[in-house]
Amino acid sequence: MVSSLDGIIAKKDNSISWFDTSHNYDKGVDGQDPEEFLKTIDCYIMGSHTYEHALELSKSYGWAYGEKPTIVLTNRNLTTDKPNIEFYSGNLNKLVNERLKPNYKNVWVAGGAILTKELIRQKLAHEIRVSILPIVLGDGLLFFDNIGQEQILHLKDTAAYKNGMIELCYEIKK
Amino acid sequence: MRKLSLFIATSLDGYIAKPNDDLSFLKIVEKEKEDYGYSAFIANIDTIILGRKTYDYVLEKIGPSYYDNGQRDIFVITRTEKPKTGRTIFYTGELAKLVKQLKSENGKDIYCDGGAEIVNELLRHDLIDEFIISIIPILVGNGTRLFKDNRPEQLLELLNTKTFDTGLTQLHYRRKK
Repeated sequence: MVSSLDGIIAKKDNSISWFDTSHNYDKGVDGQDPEEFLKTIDCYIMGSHTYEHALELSKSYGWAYGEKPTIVLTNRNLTTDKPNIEFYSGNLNKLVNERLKPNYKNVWVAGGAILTKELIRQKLAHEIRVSILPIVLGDGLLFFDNIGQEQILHLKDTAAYKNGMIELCYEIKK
Repeated sequence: MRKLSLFIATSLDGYIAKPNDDLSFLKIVEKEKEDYGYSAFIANIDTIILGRKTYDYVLEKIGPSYYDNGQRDIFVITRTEKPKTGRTIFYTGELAKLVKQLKSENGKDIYCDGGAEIVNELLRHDLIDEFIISIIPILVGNGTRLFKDNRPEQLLELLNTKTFDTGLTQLHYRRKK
């Protein structure tokens, strides 16, 4: 996920203007083409708040997740007219091991903090990719909010971009 | 003008200590002869500011000369009046006032080694000029947050990044004016 230096992934007012940094980091590389990256994903999962936030944003920016299979974890009775979106209220472990692992190569967790916590606690996530923007937001929703248990990570890759963003990629060792 | 720098290690989930001031998680990146740029950093420092809890903790675990080696001024931020010892001053006034005063004087740079309460007080007053944050490849799950709630938004400039083979990543930012 994209986060501020102080670990925040969403401001209280849900505005995303902070994603744009006018920074110039000379030692950085050009940003990866988001299209190229998105091509490698074959399935999205997200929590219900992330879904609702994405819906809200889609009114101005369009639906961010294209036509790929998208599973929204929720206990509520949500509906959609998009054929690729599914609402799932069952067991997370079952979802990951019985449906996602056998069928998809690269499942992307679009958010948010609640789903992240569950996936890490249940050791269902394999990789954590955090993009840190050069800003401290001061207040908002934390990416990692009291996960409650320790997890050693293995740093796989790092990248620093011209816009001052840093991407850290960690593997979760079982 | 002198700058105030933060040089500190945190877990990926933003904690500088586990509950009960447990810092054992830092051991996972311990490597002989690797100081992660600390000595180069400290060579430019002639004043250290710390919170009383941090001071007491280091005093107990390591000893008095870790901070006060006779070569720099130490300001311990505390509510309890205490006489100066060596070059350590126990400061009971307003932190913001102290920092502004120090910055206006001539000298090398100023270093804040924590704890979280002091760091956050400095952040609230927008007094930290540079951030050198070392991210330890671990989620600790709980503990003392580096960045607490209710601070102002602040744009930063990325100055440098370093990755070490222990998995530690060091990010160096400057406050954007």
